[in-house]
Amino acid sequence: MEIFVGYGNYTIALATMIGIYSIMALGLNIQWGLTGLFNLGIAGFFAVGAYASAILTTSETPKHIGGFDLPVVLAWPLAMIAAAFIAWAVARICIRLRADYLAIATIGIGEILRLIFKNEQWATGGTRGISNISRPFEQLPGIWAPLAFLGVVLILAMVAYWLAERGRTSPWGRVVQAIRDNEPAARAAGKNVETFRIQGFVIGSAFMGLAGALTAHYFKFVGPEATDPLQVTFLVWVMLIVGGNGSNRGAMLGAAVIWTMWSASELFSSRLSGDWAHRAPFVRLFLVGLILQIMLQYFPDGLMPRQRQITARLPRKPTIDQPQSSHILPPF
Amino acid sequence: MSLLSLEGIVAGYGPDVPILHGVNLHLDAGEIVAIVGPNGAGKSTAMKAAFGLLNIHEGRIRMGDEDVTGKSPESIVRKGVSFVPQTENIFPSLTVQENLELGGYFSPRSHVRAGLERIYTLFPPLRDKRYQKSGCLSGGQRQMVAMGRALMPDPTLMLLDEPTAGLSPKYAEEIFSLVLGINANGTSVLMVEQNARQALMISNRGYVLVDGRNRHEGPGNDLVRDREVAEMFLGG
Amino acid sequence: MDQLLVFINAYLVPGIVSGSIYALGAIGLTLLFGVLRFTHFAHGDVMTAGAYFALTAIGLFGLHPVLALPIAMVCTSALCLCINHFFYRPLMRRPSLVLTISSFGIALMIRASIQLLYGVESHYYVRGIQRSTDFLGTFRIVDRHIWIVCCAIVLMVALHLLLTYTRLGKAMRAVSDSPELARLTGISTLAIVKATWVIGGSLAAVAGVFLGWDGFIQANMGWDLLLPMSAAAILGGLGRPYGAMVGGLVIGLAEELSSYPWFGGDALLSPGYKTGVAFTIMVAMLIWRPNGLFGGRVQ
Repeated sequence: MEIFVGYGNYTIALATMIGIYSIMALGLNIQWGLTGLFNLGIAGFFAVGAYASAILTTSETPKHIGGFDLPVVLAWPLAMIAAAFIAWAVARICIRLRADYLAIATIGIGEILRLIFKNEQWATGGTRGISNISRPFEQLPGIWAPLAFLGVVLILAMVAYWLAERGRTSPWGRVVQAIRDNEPAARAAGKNVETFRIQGFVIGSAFMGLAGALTAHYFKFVGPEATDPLQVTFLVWVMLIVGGNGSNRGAMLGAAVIWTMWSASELFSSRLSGDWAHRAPFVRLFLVGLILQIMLQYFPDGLMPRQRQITARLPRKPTIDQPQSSHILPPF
Repeated sequence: MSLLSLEGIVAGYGPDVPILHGVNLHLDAGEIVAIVGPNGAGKSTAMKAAFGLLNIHEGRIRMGDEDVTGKSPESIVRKGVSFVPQTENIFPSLTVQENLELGGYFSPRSHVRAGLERIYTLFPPLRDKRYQKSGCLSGGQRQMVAMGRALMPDPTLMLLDEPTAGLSPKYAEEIFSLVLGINANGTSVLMVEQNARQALMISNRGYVLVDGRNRHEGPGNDLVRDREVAEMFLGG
Repeated sequence: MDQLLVFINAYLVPGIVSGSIYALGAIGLTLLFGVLRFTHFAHGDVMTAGAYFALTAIGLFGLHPVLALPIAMVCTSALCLCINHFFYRPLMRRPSLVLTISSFGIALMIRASIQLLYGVESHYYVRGIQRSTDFLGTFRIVDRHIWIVCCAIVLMVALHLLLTYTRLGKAMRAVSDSPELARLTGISTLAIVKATWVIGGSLAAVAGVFLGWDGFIQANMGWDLLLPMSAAAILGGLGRPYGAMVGGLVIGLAEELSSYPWFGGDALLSPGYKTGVAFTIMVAMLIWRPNGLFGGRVQ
């Protein structure tokens, strides 16, 4: 009997994390898949959401600012707004520039946020982080508590999916995809490219903030070193690339596949003895990196390629007389 | 035997959608040959096909008795053929002399030195500007750098893609007389030109392409006088 | 006088040292950007790899860190060529951002391999108190700082000579200017790409060894430097090696000098926020001069 409870708890934990990562993968899909914006600071927006919700919901304590005691129904939207606001500030500066600059800038903002969370002890508890965060439904008996929280996460993930899918098929989604595919044409069609891009970036980051808030309440703790920020960012990217860049269902499928593998390999490596138990996480990280490379090289569309029918509505640049140099001469 | 011949070339920028639908042309040693025709006729495309820049779907390209169909531009350059593109034909952040030196990238060092001297004699304005960044030069001088770069390996054949595009009539005149000079030194020239009348006047032979197919061919002067050709695009 | 001594020994010299390290890394980043048109996000981890190659050499043969440099340079270049061959080359025909994603993955793969082989703890090349040299009777500079700055200067001069006077250097600049025209000129881009990896990888290895020598060797050290290095490259204008040299020095000095008590007794900026300085400079550049101080290649 006990073993079933163990498996049950494991499955619930697995599904909860898949739900949370799905929300992040959907957010990244809005940014990269639809709008074509590169974000390597996912962990930063995630952390903003986590800290914002943690500070807003905890009671008065000398360890960090707080005492707002807000219910999560209010705190989670506010966490999303906080992440969205930071994203808006980054996007305002970098959205006009080459995509590489945005990528570097997002790494930078992730790093700065981590420094702030670590150094500003009065606000965030410094390296000790914020603990005693409440988890919704934790007072329920036995397995019902995690199950109820899982329900909340899955409902939110479905809402996120529904919103992302609505966004993708809406006129707004068609414009951002047209911008991604052919910016000059979109510009010529009178679209304000910067505004649409900023919107895509901000919405995606709000999703990441929500995922951060959910994680903080799930673990009842948030700290600057709680998770390796680079690892979070990396996993979300691999999920999107594996699932299918541009496809919302693909993003969710990727989250499920990669998180199951990630988590199952932990189960496996915990059975290893001695030295190898310490080394196994690195082998795992290496292998996930290898999966990313293989997907990029051999399966660029991922497991669930995006539907192409609604892209390329705007006329493409005529490529006959003045072909873009890359068409005649791939440089290498 | 022809220096260069295109036989029934069907080609395009990708694996499908051909732009050339069976172009034939040839060029003998010592000739100047012009390709003219209306916009979008595939003139530049034909030239790029000859230089290995396109996907050849059908047909053969020969240089001398060698089949070079599908060869890369790098290997065609080494056979003594130079190509001067219409745009982006210089390295703007490099000096004039460095641009020219790169033209002799695969020639021995002594060749490069002699080549520089030859180019500076051919284009005297470049000698004074040799240590200047070529990106700072005027349009005509850039064209000289581009042609100079292509002439550095002392090619047997030079391909010129619209060498007078965007230049003033005075400079265009100068470029045409340079082409004659280059040809007199023993380099055959194949050029694509918008200034069709002038180009045909200095050419031994000309080809008129329309819609990716041969329409007319013949000695340059005859084509200039041909009524149909004239009406089509020489402006009457 | 004491104030001045403290300023020079505790702020100026460390600033120049870390500036030299950033410059070496940023040159590789900027050269690779010029030739391959993508930001190599694994460059910091390539540095880390260089530092660990030197660690192995020092452990095996008991070498002085400077003597371990050539070994680290050769091994790191080989690593870069392998990565390029197996992971980047197959993606060359795809949009450059795909390469950027790939390099992000490579960064984690390199780091994971290092953690697997060497563990997560810190290592040192040399233990114990370092010898130092007195200048003008008052300045006391640690020997390794002199080595680091001198080696960096030698390498930068060598790079300058290579780029200006050799056929390879000119061809590299040509490819950076226009890969299409370079190919039409008969320059084999493949060879140039390989040469760029060797140069970029070697310089990164040196930067990694110096970084480890000046502090300690740890698997995260390179990734943490990616931000200041990118900032240096952007400051100098992407694709401009001389800009990267200046940019590196500016970022290094700015980081160290920002914590000097310019006004009164407190540090101007808490040392915990050092990384933030590079980022702030970079953001300021992106707002006002996105082409860098010397003009770069922004669309």
